[in-house]
Amino acid sequence: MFRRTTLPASACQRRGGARWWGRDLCRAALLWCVGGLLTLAGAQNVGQFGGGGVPAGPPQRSVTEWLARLQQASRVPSYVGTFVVSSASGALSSSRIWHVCEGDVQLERVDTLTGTPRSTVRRNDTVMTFLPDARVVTLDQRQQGAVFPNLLSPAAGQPVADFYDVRELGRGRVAGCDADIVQLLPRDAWRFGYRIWSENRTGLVLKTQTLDAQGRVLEQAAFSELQLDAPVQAEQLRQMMASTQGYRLVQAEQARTTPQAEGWQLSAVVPGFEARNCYRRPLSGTASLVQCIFSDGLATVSLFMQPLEAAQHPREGAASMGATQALTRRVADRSGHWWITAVGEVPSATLQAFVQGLARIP
Amino acid sequence: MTAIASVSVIIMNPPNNQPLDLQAVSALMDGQLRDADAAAAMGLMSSSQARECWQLYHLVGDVLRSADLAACGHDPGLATRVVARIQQEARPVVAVAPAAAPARDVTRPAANDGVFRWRMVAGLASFAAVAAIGWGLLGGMGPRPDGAAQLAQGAAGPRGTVQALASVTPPQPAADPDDIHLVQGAGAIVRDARLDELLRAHRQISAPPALGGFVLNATFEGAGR
Repeated sequence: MFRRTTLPASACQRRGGARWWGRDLCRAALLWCVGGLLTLAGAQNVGQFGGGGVPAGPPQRSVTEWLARLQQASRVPSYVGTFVVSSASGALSSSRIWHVCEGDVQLERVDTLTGTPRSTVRRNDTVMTFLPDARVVTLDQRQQGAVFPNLLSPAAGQPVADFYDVRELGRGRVAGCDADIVQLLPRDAWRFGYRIWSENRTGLVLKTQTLDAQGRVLEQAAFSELQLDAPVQAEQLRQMMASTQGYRLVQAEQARTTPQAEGWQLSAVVPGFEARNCYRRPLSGTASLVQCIFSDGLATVSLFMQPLEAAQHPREGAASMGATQALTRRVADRSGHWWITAVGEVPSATLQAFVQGLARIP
Repeated sequence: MTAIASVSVIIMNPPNNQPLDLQAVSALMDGQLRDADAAAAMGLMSSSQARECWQLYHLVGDVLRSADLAACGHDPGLATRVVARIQQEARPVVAVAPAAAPARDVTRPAANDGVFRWRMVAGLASFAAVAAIGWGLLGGMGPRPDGAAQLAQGAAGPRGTVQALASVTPPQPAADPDDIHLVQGAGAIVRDARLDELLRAHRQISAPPALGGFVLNATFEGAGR
């Protein structure tokens, strides 16, 4: 019965979506009751998935079809929402999101609501981050598309399909929106699993959970409130990117490179992971930092290589922050000592395999 | 900025009656003192002024390491509680009375709060022996000392995570001697501005479009996950 009061104020309501509200009230009331019962039944179904639930028949979509649908959904015309991220370590952060898509142009603004104030605005691959406290704006034009293959293009290789299984877990509700729940389970222990709530009309990702081998949630992110088709002015976001007055503009100085050109080789690669991109950028002094990015289509690993500075890099170690793991290691060759930092949303063993496979070209 | 300004005030105007050897406090923090020098500096620490200075120096260090650490309030009772707990645990336990659950002190930050744990690691880094507290230690560390486990009261989250990670067995476990070396050498990484920068560089690209992509990255970026 509570649905009757929550429905008109539903966060997921689309503009004009309440038009049917004016129709025959009796009929509508009946619909709500039936809808409520169905939703309850659905929720009970969904509640079982943790303990080997009952998927409704064979998967309707393959892994690649699902990923393509989720990626396609980033082209929904517009939405405004509040996004919350929580990790197993207890850290919680949230942000306010504005999104608008006009043709091939995607504009997004993300304002952090926790921690240091920060506004990030994106126009396709151009990302500007405003730090109002420091009066600094950073500009980054790295190609996101170069890291993750365009799943919408049939020509793209799809290694992801060989390393994850898909399981559809029924329906759920997030931020007032009805969602399809799909689980992507790794076929080996080199990667984590994911549970994804996808808005059932548009496919928009409403919630994600990163799962370890035991199925425990390491990190989750979800909209706590979402208005699809909200009025978002693309022009305002464009203007924001143009108005950097009073801010110091810092442009990331980085050049594309390859591991080989930097004197590194990866003898053994973790199955499924492909080298996607490699950047070099200057650090303080004469040293430079090389970042090489690997991805299996879902999980990402960055390897950072830089000359060892004994005072700054005292000892090897490992760290875990929710789903993100980090590992540091020293490597020596004739030209000197190097400091490796591996970071990724993968099990720590995967990072160890990466750094062990990494060596200087003799 | 406030912290740094206050430090300079103390250095410029030591109280006339009790000139404090700030160099000794600083050297003690950095672990540069030995034997008699260290003992003398420890003697200094009995004054509240020296302890204030110690806190301030650590705050400066925290701020320089990471802006997130500056947001944590100073907990004046921490040292007292640690000392009390160590004394309590040093005594042999004869029988554990089935006492009622201890009242929770909700006024202090949770030990498993992300930022708080950062601060624990950064603030206590000079006490090498306490490095086992804080965020996930992986591989080869063995069971955590009871003291550390109890300090992280209610830290079921992080501990669960660590255990889960340690139990993931890769399909082809490496029998490489290097592996053993790596695991033995593994410890906690102390968060600093350099590690933060690398995490940020990774998070700018880490989430694929199918998992929320940019929105996820921009929310995570810089956040003490």
